[in-house]
Amino acid sequence: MRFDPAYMWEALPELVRHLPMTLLLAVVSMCFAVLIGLLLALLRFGRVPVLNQFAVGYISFFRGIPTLVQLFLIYFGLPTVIPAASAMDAVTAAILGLSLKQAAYLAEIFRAALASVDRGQYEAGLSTGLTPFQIYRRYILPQASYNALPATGNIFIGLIKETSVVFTLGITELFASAQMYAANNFRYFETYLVVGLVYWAVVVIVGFLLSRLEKRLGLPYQR
Amino acid sequence: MKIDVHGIHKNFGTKPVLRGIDLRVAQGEVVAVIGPSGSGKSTLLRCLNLLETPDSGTIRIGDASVDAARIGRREAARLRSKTAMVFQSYNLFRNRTVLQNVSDSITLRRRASRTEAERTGRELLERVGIVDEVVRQYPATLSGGQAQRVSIARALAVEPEAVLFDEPTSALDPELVGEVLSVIRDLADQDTTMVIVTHEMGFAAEVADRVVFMDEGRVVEEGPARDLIGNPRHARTRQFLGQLGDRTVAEPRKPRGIGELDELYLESMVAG
Repeated sequence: MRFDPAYMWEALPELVRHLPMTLLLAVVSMCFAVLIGLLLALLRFGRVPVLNQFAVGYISFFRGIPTLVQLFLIYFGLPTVIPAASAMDAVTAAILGLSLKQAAYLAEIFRAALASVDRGQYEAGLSTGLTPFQIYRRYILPQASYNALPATGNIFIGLIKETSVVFTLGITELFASAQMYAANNFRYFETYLVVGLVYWAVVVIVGFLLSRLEKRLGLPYQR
Repeated sequence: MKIDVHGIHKNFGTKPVLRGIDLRVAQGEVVAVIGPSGSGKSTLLRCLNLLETPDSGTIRIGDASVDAARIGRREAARLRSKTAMVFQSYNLFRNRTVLQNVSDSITLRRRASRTEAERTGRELLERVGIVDEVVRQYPATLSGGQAQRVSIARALAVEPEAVLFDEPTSALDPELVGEVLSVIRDLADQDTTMVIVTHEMGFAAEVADRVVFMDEGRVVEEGPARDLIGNPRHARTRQFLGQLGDRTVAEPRKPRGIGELDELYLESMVAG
């Protein structure tokens, strides 16, 4: 069997049909991860007693175990101890696992970003009669978001690719579709090359959008 | 008295920073607080705005008062709303335009609609000499002098009973100091009550009605500006002013008699 580039064009539309599932997993997991990560970061940053320690433990645990182990733990493990968890479908389990994990990484990025906004602005806000909530919402969080954007973008790009492990839960996303497709016609090289290029293209587009966003959010800080 | 502070004590860890400070400032009075670094003058100022919480003592500003021993969240916010602070490093909100920096506090505290708040903001910015082209810019584009003037406008937007200045010119390039000082001078002429922590002795002598000299967490001496800076009574004050090598500092003259001291004190009280 020789390398057949023409075959790649045939495979492309078949694989891209499953790209939406990959994007759904990545985007939804990212949204949850940002929310959970922000909460953890605020607990850490504000040194909220007890909850701070909880956040430290959380981050350590979810950074410490492989994604695959975590997904198996949730999808195959949980139902054996909590019968109700067997009602959870594979997509939910995948989103849960990926969000919980990425949140741990994001929490540390967000904490550093919050710390990068100088405390003087917080004090200035207090001295003009604003509440801490108003100060965070209007000044600290917008600036911290900008500072966190490059690293957060990296996490998102990593997440897009990491969704490829969920084929193990039986979800047909981009990579799973490639495996099935290749198994039918034994064109492994062409199929996996196509799927690799599709991931690459997605990452390039996301990277472009991120840099646009970064430029726009960075406007106030240009001299 | 606009501001009446009594018996303020503050420790950082085990290190005493303020050891029983009394300070009274009258309506429209300008008080300059001077002293070596580490003397507690900035901490005192920050206590007035409760950016630092004193360990003990009482603070009254206008009709709001707190006892440091038991400060509630409500009381703290109320006292804070009576003053506004101008910081050494401006502390402008970097993600907001010059105009928003000034008008935000008005809109967020629901004192006026956005349009009205922006009109007030523009007026205040004009008052501190910020021209129209600059109001839509972001703080990153400003010179230090402009930034500090914007921060003064932001402080005025709160309509404070008193404005607190924490070394407002210390972070500025020498050629930009003048524009900030002239704005403060204008405020003094308009009878704005101000407490200014400063190293600019010449300016303190010129603008302040009264100067307070602090050292090691205590008020060493206070009096009318020209008297204290031109003719300090205490050896420590003389030493400090001498070190600055400021031309406004006279050589120590003959020690004053007790009667004169009382007179000076009375004078300062009457002024205050």
